[in-house]
Amino acid sequence: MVGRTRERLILMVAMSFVLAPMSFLPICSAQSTQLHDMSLQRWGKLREVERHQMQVAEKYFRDRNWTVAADEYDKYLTLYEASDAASHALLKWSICQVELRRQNTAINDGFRSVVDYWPDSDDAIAASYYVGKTLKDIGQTKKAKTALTDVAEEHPKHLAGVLAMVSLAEIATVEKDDKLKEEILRKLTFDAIRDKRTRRQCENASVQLATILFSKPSVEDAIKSLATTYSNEQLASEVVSKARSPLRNLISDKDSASKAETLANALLGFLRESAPDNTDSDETKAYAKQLAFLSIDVLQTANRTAEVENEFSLITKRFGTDDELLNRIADWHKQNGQYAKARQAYGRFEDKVAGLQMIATSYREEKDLPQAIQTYNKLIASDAENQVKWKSESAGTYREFKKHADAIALYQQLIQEDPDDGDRWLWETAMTHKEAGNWKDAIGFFRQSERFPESYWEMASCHRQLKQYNEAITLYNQIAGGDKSRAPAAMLQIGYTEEDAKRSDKAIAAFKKVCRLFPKDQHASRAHAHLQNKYKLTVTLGGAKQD
Amino acid sequence: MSAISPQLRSSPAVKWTVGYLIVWTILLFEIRTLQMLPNWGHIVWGSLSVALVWYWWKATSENHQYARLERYLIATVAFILWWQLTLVVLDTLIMDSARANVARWGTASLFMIGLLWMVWGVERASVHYQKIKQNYEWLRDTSNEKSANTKLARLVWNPLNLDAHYYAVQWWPPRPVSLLRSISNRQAATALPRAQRSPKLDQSLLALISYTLLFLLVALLFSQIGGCREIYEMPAGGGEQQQLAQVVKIKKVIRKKYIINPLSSIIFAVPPIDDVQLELTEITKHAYQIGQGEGKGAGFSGGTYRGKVRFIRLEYSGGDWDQDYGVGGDLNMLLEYGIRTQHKVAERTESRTIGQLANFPLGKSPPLVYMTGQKNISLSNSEVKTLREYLTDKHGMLFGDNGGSRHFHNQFLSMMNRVLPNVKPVPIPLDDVIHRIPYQIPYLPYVAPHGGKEALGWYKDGRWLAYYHPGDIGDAWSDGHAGVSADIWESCYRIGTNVTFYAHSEYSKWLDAQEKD
Repeated sequence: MVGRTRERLILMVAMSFVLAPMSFLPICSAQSTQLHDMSLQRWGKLREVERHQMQVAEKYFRDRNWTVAADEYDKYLTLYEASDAASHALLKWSICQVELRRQNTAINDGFRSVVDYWPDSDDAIAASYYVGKTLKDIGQTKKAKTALTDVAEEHPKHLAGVLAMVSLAEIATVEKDDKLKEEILRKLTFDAIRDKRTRRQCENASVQLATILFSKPSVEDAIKSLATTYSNEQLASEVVSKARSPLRNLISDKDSASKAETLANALLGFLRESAPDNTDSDETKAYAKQLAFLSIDVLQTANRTAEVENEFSLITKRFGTDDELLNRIADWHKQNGQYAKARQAYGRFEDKVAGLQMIATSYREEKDLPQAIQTYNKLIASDAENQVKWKSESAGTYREFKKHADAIALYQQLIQEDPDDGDRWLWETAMTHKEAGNWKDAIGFFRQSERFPESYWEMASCHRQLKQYNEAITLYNQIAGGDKSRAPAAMLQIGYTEEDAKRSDKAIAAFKKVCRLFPKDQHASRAHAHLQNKYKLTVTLGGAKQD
Repeated sequence: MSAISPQLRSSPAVKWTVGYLIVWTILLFEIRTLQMLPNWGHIVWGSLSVALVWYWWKATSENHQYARLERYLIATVAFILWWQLTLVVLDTLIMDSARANVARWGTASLFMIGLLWMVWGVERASVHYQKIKQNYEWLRDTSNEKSANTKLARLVWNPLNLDAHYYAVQWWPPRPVSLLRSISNRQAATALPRAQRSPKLDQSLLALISYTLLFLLVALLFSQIGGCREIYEMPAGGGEQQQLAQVVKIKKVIRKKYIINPLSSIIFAVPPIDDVQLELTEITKHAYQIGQGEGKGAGFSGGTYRGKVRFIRLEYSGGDWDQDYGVGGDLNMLLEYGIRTQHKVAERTESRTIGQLANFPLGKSPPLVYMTGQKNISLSNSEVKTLREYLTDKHGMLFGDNGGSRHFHNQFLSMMNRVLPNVKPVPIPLDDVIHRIPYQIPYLPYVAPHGGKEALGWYKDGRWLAYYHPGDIGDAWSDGHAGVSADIWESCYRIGTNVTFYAHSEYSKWLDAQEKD
């Protein structure tokens, strides 16, 4: 018995040793990619009291309570100046100052002090970067460039160095310094070490670089750039996807038409080279087909319409017809305004339901109501499992064509047939009545709906149409009382409703109330402007200070 | 006019009137350009027109055929004289809003009066030419004179003549051959194909269009005269760029002590015996001179002794640059700035168009201009260029204030993107010099958050080129302070003071640096 107890005790002690560092593990792991995070080893070196104080500060930091967090870090620095994490506390204190919009204080009293007092620490590198970044954020680009260049050159393999390069690229974008931007993006793409913390920045840089290179067009380099980020399987689709916008821009400008031609040809050449020689297996066949579709994308973007049709017939010969290919062909016909041809393609779908759905959509696009409804009726008959969906689509089509009575009849059926989703159909019925201008009926259905405060909002709007202003105001008051986030908007609407009712005094009072009660809200801005413009009142109450 | 008797024409009254009008015209140019003469001088001279108009009114009372016409002419001249006089009076009384309205309605009235005169003139001229035509026709009928026929066959180009060959012509669809033939052979009788339109209608339309264009051109020229050359001078002096010192006096108030009998049967809450209520009185006093440089008295080393800090609002097209103009906001801010900094300030506020900023020479241009509104901002390319030159080359600064909409926020940002394409707006730190000196601004105050809650700035070459306040700071400066609490409008005045001081001290530093170079 005693032995078992001892074993338990030993186990508990061992567990406590294992679990103790894990008590703060989530904090570290959650933000492990951040530059200002402290490593687990450093946490381990702290004394219990230091760790406690640091955790208190970190908690407020995570809660974005910057004032309190800054005070807590300050307290840490006062109490444990010689601690291993003092530089970290000062770094975090500086970040709090940045968040409190005291960037100059952060730079002069925070980041620079970290660099001066703990020059060999990891925090000093981060602080050097933050100096540059903060200078950039307050518009002092010249100083920022110097600071960031230093960090990028001295610590090219550190996360701070990578982030510094990203910031430098942003400055180059604002200053329209294309040469510098390309140079930095090349470094980030090809030279920077990609690890867990820097991967995202480097990948973004490679995509940006590829876009620039496609515009030149320097296709080979652009593909190399993307190849650093995407695997062979993804590369072709990403190349086409990233080249689409530059190709479109080059085509839109007459002067760059030859460049567009070069880019399109290079892309087609790359896709042809990427095609597998042997298409025996399903995988290689699918890949070859994907490449063929990508070629069509390029041709479509380059406005080479004649070649698109050839390409489609080649694909049909090589891979046979399937729904995917038919869909692409139909899309192509629709782009050219040939809806009948598109529908022929949809009609050949193996998945008849999907084909009919696409046909119905194409009729809707062509504004052919009877045919669209007829197609939906076919769907209702042939796809019994999804009758609700197709009836809803039918009703939507009627609404699109302002046939409100037909739409309402269908929604009424749906209320009966699909009671589980009854509230949705009630809402749709109410909205259709509102669209038809049947305000009273709409109010009746909105009242049955459970969507608060949207239903009240809509009811108030209908009452205003019926000139029942007092009812509308009552509803707006109920919204203001029941939903704090909607209160400013509701009270503003009370003002407008009073105005509709020709009760100017009450309207003015309502607008002033919005300004006074919610001075920081956008609706206060509207109320203030309305009081000035409509009533020529400069005294609107309100007024506040930045948070 | 022709009815004025020869005696009257050579009379001293005419000479006096002509002399008066010449001096009046010179004074009009003076007030639009140099502004050296005080306003009362203009008012006195303008007031003399009352007697003059009265005299001429009486002089034309004779019952002759042109009496009515003469009176119309006198009324027209009187309108122009008195309109300008009213503007000067309102300017002197600093009734900016009324002045702007009178200027606007006066221009419209002048247009209408001119239009009536134009209609009268065209009508008389066409009657005159019709009479001439009738004479030629009579000649032709009576003597078959060849020359008369030739004259009638000629193409008429005079637009005052209703027989001008381009009236009542079928312009659409265009017939280039006929048009070219008619232009190349000015004497040819072959005219353009005729349309079913009255020549009178064409003449009226042409007259209206020509008059409108001419009026616009003259108005444009006249508005540009206003700034042939203008100078802005800061008040001379010196001082430090430091925060205003706040002295706190603590007054101890000893509250009455209660003597309590512990044996008393009455129980009540015993107040703390040594409770001391502190009454704090904050006194802000100038512990030093606010300014820049080493001059004597509060001011700027780059200033002059006749210089003053002025508040200039920027006029722009497309929107409402004059929002709440003249309700006291601008003037209140200017006066507050004067009181708080002890700098000399102008007696009244002003407004200038963006084009007029080009009239200020390098080193004598306004360090700060204010811009507000809530609608569109529509600037031409030349205005964008002028504004860019003002901000960068002339070391100026723009104080933007969102007067009431998110739309204005977007408009202002897009305008600045055109003016300074290589500078990105950034939120201005609360511990920046502009938010610290002379007043510490711990939080940005606003009347309503039209464009967010952060002040934005455009920073280039070591200074802020533009400061944008998102929340109608101008309303807090105005009379009544938009009903906001005292600490908000006080903060708004402090921001206004800081921005004005910042712009002037940066300008002064720049002037000092240029002098050293």
